[in-house]
Amino acid sequence: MRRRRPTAALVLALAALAALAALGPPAAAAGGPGPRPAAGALLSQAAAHGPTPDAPSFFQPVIPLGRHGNYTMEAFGRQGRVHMLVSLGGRAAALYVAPGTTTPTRLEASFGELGRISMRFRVSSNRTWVKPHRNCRGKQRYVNRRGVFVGGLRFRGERGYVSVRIRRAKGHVTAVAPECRRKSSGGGIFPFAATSAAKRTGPVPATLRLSWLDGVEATAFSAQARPRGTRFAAEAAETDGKLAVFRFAQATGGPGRLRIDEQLTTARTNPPAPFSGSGAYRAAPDGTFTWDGSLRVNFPGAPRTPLIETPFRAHLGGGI
Amino acid sequence: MRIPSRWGRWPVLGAALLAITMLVPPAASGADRHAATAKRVHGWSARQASRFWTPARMRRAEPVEQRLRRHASDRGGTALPDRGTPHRVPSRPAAGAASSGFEPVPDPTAPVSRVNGVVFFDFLFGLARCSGTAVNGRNLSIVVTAGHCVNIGWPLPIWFTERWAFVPAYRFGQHPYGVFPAKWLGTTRGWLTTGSPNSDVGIAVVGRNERGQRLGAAVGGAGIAWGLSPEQVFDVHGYPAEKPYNGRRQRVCEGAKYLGHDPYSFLQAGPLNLAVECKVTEGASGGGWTIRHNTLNSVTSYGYEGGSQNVYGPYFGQEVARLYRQAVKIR
Repeated sequence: MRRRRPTAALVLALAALAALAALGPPAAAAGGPGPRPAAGALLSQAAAHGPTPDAPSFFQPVIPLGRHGNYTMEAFGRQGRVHMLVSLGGRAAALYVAPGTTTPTRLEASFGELGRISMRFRVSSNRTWVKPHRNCRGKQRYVNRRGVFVGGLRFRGERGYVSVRIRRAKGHVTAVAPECRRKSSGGGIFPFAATSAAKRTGPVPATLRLSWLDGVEATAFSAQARPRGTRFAAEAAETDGKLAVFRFAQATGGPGRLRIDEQLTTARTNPPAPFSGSGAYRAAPDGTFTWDGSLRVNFPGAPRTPLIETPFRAHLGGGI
Repeated sequence: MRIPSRWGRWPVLGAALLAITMLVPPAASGADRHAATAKRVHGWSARQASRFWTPARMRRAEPVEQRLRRHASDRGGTALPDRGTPHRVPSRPAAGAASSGFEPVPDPTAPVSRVNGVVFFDFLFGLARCSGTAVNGRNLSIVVTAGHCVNIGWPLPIWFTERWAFVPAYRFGQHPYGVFPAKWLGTTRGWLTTGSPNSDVGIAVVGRNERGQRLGAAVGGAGIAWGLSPEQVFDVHGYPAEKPYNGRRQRVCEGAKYLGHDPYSFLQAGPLNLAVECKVTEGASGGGWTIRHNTLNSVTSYGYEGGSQNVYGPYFGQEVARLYRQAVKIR
């Protein structure tokens, strides 16, 4: 049996978001303002778990849906899954993933009670770009076709925190040539992850990590003391039938928001928004530990998600 | 689709499923299309297999995941578990954990249990092991296991062809039905081209044992089903070798109910996988998940560190059907 860490699903969700960023040039070339949520420090872990590989012939239909209230939305397809990405600047994001039909000309899936998408792609005339992909060597190419998606898309986030209903939208389909070989950076389609892991030298920052795994749901929280401030991140993954939802939130606070003793036995934290409340970690000499407090996080679509639950798995480590 | 077990206990269901399959156009199965998803194993006889896989060597074999991880560690690779961290504290057992216990099978030579066994092989990093299940097929020689027990998978599609053998009903170093050497290994295209755990299925076609018996004649074979609803109740079989187990006994989680899909499987290519509650450790990879006691419908693929009670296996869909159809043609 292969073992994965409890947060692997979450980390890979972030990695998926990062993959979008890694594939950024085509989207940027198409002029789409696609949301690019910050992937967070945990991306370095994605490399350790092995990246999600590209399909041999990769293509990605993308429908930028623009701003809806405070959120930016984008629908895209990949490897037989349709994704709906809802992001709140670089602070938080929710990714809804459903199995469906993803071809260079079709995007179809049901998001269950949250909505559905059934759209066909019509290429605009004279609107096709062929440019070198930054991750490809030599004469390798990707093709970026711009056009219009027509059909129907409706999506309403949990308790209506975001809502979109369209019949037509501009979009693009990016296809990487099958023979495109990535640079041998060791990072696959996660150059960010590889870079961040490779550059990680010197003392390991003090880090507090907690994770929960319950059935097919998982939640994780991490706080890491860095020279420029303390970085907080929380992630959650859940499935509901044929729909998976990944949520992510992050914040940066002053050094006083994470206090860890030199023996690495106690830690107290009170992260800034979108977090609220505080948490206290305490390890006893006999190997037991406690994690108490009122810490919560406001995920898109899941406000005030508690980060104090039992049972949980904890880790406090690193140099100070 | 369901291939009835050797005992044929559910002819009605079998006929119904057969009727369903007849309505479905057969998948393309040209030899060229599958050429890259399988590998012939040459120069490995039953006698050689039996001589090589002594009780001492079988005990020395470690779960393939440990072998790979240790190698990564030696090379300073990144695929490492956390080790030596100052305050690594094991998680607390979840309430009701006893229900997910991997209980020892009293008699692995019983008809329903003897189809389960241990897969042994030798590769660059040492002797390795997994679990597997003898499955019914017209060549009476099919073993179904995990894809990562026959091939590393994308991006290093290395075949484990060295001394690959199946020992049904293994117990405490004994092989009551002999050792069956592999003569053909195959896996899904998804496992080879994407490394997605959703496609982590492998099949071996084995030769006769040292007594000249075919696998199916010696121990029988479980049925196999694909294309069914994921909502099944499974018996999870295997030979977990990592603590708290030692790999010497066959174990089973009976009546493990389908919990849903791992969120992680949504981010990978291929059909969504299945989660059940069963406290499994390394070495149980490839162990069969049977429904109604003797119909194989998934295999153990992976689990999470940290005291998780869940184990995950690939959904048996058309990709598995293609692989099975390819394997039964091998003589």
